[in-house]
Amino acid sequence: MLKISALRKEYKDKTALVGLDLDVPAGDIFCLLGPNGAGKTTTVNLLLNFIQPTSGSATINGFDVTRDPLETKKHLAYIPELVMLYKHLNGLENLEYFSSLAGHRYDRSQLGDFLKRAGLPLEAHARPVGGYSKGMRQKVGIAMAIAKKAGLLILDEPTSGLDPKASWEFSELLKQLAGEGSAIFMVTHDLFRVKEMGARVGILKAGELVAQMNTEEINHSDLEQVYLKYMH
Amino acid sequence: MQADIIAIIAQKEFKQVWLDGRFRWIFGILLLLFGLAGWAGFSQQQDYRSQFEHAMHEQRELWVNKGEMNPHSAAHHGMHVFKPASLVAALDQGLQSYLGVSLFLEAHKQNQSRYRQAEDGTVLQRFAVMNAATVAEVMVPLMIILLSFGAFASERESGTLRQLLSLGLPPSQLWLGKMLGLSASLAVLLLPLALLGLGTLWLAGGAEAFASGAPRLLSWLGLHALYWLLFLWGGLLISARCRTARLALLLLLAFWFSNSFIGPRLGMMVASLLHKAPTSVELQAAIEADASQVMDWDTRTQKVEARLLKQYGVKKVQDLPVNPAGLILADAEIDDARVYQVHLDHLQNDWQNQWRVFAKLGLLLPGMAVQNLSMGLAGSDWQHHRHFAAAAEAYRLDFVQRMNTDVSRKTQAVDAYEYTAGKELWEAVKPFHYDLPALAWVWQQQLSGLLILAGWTLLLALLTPLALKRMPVD
Repeated sequence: MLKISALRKEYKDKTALVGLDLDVPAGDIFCLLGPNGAGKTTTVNLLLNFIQPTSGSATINGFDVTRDPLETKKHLAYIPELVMLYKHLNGLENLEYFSSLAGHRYDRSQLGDFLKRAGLPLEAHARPVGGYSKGMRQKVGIAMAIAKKAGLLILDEPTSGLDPKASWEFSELLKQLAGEGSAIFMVTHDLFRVKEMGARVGILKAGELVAQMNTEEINHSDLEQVYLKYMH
Repeated sequence: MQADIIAIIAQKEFKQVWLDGRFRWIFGILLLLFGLAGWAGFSQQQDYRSQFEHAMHEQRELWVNKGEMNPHSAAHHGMHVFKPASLVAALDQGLQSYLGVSLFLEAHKQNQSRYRQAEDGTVLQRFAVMNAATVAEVMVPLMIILLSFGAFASERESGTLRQLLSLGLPPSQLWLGKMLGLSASLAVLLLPLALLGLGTLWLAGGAEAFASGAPRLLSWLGLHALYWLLFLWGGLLISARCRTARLALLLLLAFWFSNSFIGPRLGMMVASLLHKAPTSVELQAAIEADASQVMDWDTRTQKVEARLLKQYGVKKVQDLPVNPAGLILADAEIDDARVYQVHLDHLQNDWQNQWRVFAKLGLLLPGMAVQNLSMGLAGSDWQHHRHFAAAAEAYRLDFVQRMNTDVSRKTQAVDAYEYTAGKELWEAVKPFHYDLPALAWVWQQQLSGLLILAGWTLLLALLTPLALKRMPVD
């Protein structure tokens, strides 16, 4: 679903990404770890075509993100650290608006089902999102991804700041979606969740992918050791 | 372009505006201001219309019933003529207070306007004038800025822009949806105004006033709708390019302030420095100086008498079938009129040049072009005044010469200055009638303003793809 080949991004005074190669097939969960400034958000921005690569390429479902940005975005759903919604609209209306703009029209009951599946309590559906917690907003973000039927989910530190229960619920949802065939590409610092999801992990340092491993093959402590090794 | 997606964005923007209590207040205040300004202007115009009817009637009565007198004395007795009021001028009184609405017509002189309102007011009065045009050209653009500055910039700051663009939504669709949604909000303001204006025109002036005023009123509304759209368009582009809403607001307010306040004043200052027009004292002195150079009475008498003797084939003035005195007066009248015309043409040219400088500044600040167009459509600009003054001068020359030729035809046997005429001659002079020029004439006069607005539209159309292509996401 997601293929990244020798993707490079240089700015005037620094190289943010040094020839990244990566493959995230359908049903796979890939987590990109790394310290601040390692190039994680740059990678996300490149995949969303918000910035242009210096060289290399990335394809989503076979479409090049630079040459066919609109087409690639049809196949992905993006969930940032904090899903931003329109405060004056309620959860259902926000979901309806974003889904419509993505080209999917649903009736209220279908939209309600998406929110329910994402774990948003029924009583919150018709409440303005101004009063939503971060966890509730993230759930609306997941509902958007479900409604969009996206083959690839790109998540940028989605569990940061969530309480353990909300974080666990979120991970469970991602596992479900991966089980249904979605590819998950997640930037995170949360080693515990990464291990729990049984994801593949890549460690990015100074724009370079310095290690890749499968969390199912190592224990949590080893994973932490590897991570700390590359942090310094 | 997916029309349904654009419609969804437009619908959301429209809803967002109306859910925002602040904008409901602003719309309400603007409608109230429009209502008050329109009502004040309309009452003023209605008062003027009734005064106009009364004054025209009174002047006619004075002219017809002035009793027996010498026709040339009657020409000196003169009469006032008044510019008919356009109901659309209720929306924009323009320069009416400064140019005046009445002219005194008499022999030998082309007088400037009398009894101008501005003569009775203080300097500060001009700042207190609030008419519908001021609301439309100053207050509504301010509201548009408040509507548009955050359209993209606030979404960028809150993170929803990133979310929207990650959906695969082309920025052009987002821009168009926002443009349509916010335009629809403005239409909510414009439509009641249009209906109110047309209804008032119909009720106040009847079918005739409606037929003549409606095209001007609709054009006036169309002009301002275009101006608002340009403001909205520009506001959205600035919002699309600025990283923060604060910066977008600051830039837009700076433009609004220059466009509404600094530009017009600076424009007038530059225009009057580049093309200095004489003061009324200087003008009068120059006319009198030139008039004194014109042929003296004896020379003119000899010239006219020689011409008449030749024309009628007689040897003595006493044998002429006409009295030369009237024709000498008529001849003098033509020279006097020419002297006046030369100086007034210079004055008008100075004003024209000043106006051109002012209009050219519309290239930088479109509000100045709109101001000129608005006054033109309302019939309250100096071009309309010039049109009226030209009609009044043609009428003056005609009635004065009619008086002079009457002296020459009727006074063969008696002394020209002892001859008197009566009501029959006075009634033969038809009352002054003036119609506002047609709308096509206005467009012709205001072509530069129209071209400037077309230029601004083109510029924004060219900048739009560039601004959207380089729109920052964060």
